[in-house]
Amino acid sequence: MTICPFCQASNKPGAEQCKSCGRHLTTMQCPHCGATNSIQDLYCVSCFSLLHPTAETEKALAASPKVISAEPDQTEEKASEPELTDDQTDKQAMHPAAPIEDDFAQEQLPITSISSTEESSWPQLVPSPDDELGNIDDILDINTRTMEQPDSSAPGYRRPTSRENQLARLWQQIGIKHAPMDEGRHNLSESQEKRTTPRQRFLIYILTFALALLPFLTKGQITDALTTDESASGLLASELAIVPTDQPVLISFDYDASYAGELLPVAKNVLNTLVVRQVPVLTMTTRTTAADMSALVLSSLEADTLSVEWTDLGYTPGQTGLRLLAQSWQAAFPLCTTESTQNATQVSRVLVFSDSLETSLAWIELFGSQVDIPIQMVVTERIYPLLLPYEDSGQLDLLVSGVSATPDEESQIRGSDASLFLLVGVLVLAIWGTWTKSHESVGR
Amino acid sequence: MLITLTTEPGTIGLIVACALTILVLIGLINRKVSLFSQHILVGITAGYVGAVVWRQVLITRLALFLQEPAAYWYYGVFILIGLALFVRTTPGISGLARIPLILLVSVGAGLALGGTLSGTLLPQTEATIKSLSPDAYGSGLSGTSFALDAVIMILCTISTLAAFHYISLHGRGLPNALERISSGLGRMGKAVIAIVLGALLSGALLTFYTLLLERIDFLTVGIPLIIEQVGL
Repeated sequence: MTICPFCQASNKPGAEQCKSCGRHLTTMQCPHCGATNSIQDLYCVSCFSLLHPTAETEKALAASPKVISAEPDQTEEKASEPELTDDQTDKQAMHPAAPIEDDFAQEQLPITSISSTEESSWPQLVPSPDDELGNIDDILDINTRTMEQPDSSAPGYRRPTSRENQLARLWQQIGIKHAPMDEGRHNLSESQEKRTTPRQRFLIYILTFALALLPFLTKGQITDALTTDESASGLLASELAIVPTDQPVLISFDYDASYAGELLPVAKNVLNTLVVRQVPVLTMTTRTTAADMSALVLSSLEADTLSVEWTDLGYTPGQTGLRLLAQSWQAAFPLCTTESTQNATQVSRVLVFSDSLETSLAWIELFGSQVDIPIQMVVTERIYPLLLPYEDSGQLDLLVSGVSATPDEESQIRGSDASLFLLVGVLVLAIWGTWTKSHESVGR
Repeated sequence: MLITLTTEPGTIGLIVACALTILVLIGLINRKVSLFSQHILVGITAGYVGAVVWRQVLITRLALFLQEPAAYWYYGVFILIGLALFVRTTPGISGLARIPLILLVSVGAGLALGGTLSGTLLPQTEATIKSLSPDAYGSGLSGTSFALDAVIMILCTISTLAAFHYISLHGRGLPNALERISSGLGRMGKAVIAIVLGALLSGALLTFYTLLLERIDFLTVGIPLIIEQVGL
């Protein structure tokens, strides 16, 4: 039978709620911070304030002379309660609201007895008279003269008493409060609480896909009406129109296949123009993953590639290769025996397709600073702003991004489409974020 | 319905490419599905890189060394140094593996430092030294606009540098005035940095959006082509 600590009604053993007043029999809320605590806890696990009213606690403690006092006259009152065992008396004294049947303490693993030496090494708490924690020593009687001394005839390990369990639990609460550990942390951080749910993420993905499909549904009519930026592709075309036909052009494919969606249409357009104009072409790469990119581009050209002098120099390793290329063509490409490639200065210009800032800077710093050959770059929009100062300083002869230089005839998708629907996407996400934030504030 | 699969490599490659693209796109909703395609990508990339390096770097240099050892002796030395990496886990001689690592780090740092000095620091500093007089850029409105552009560029450069000024000069008179000027420029520089970071973020988003659109374009073209060639 479980006695409700609030209305004193009798309930079935193991009942979680009182059948009379409906209050929880196993948990209780802290009157100070509202945190949920076990009914057995003496102090709140969150704010460490005394869970039970002081008057009731003192009254309960006064009814249990064994715990709060070691005076011999009160031990006689204890003898008048023969129906309770020592442990049950302890428990009732420490927690007057706790059901006697809950023998949690007896289920704990045995621990070593608390010796006076170990107790003296514990940190000392000195609560002030106004401290809401109260006087811990008075309540728990942390005193060696009232602690149970271990039986010398017993083995080294014995089952702890309920008072020792209460003491251990109290020190655990103190430890959690003053040295919080992961397993004792109850409050989630603010960033963890505000993480988007899977449903919200799904909504974002669906919106993203819808925005991506919109250009196909409108066939670019909206963007044609709103955007008329053809400067980058026109600038590139005008540069290709004045390339001399008696000198080779060195083209370096320094982008991975993952960025081919942005750079491949421009590369095909550039090479097609050069092949039509019968300009000798040398191709190379400083990226291992782009070794066959030149062959892939040339094989997809509409123009007759057999009529043009095309040499694939292959791969040269990154920074070292570019440094060698600036000094000796033969060192960078040992097996290259083409006469037109014996000297890098014979090349009229270098055209680099790059998706990496490091590779682009290596071309500028290690090759461009050593050889007086104009370098033209077609890069991804991702790194385009970072390379603009090099164009302004004259280190780059031409710099265009793949998004803005994509010719119209290569794909239905153009940079203007991406720009417009990126703007729409950002607006949608901003509205969604604002709505979510206001919804959260209303919920609070 | 009888499905007749062709054995053309192009068709098979198109089917594989479409299937992997769809798997990756499904990964936007369910990430576990795309792990399969990610593993394929990582494995193929590693194998492909190894093959390219072996064919175009290692075997070419090794062949030259074997054909003419006297002329290309240095390739033999480099190959020996490279082989020293294999003894990294061998007790007793594992210290030899430090030689190629030290060479890699030192040569890489030397190249990067020299290239940064000669290719970025000096030219970029020189590029910011511009005349503020409109007459230097021509007469009329064009010269004035170029001069204004130079003023904005110099102001942004100085303010960005001032944003990284953390030393406080305590005192009165000139140090106090310099401190106030530096603090004001630093606030402006932080705004310039924020604008640059915003431009970078928008550029990255634009690139990824373009790639997504290209992949969808690829599917809209590739799937009907597969259906046509397979005979569905």
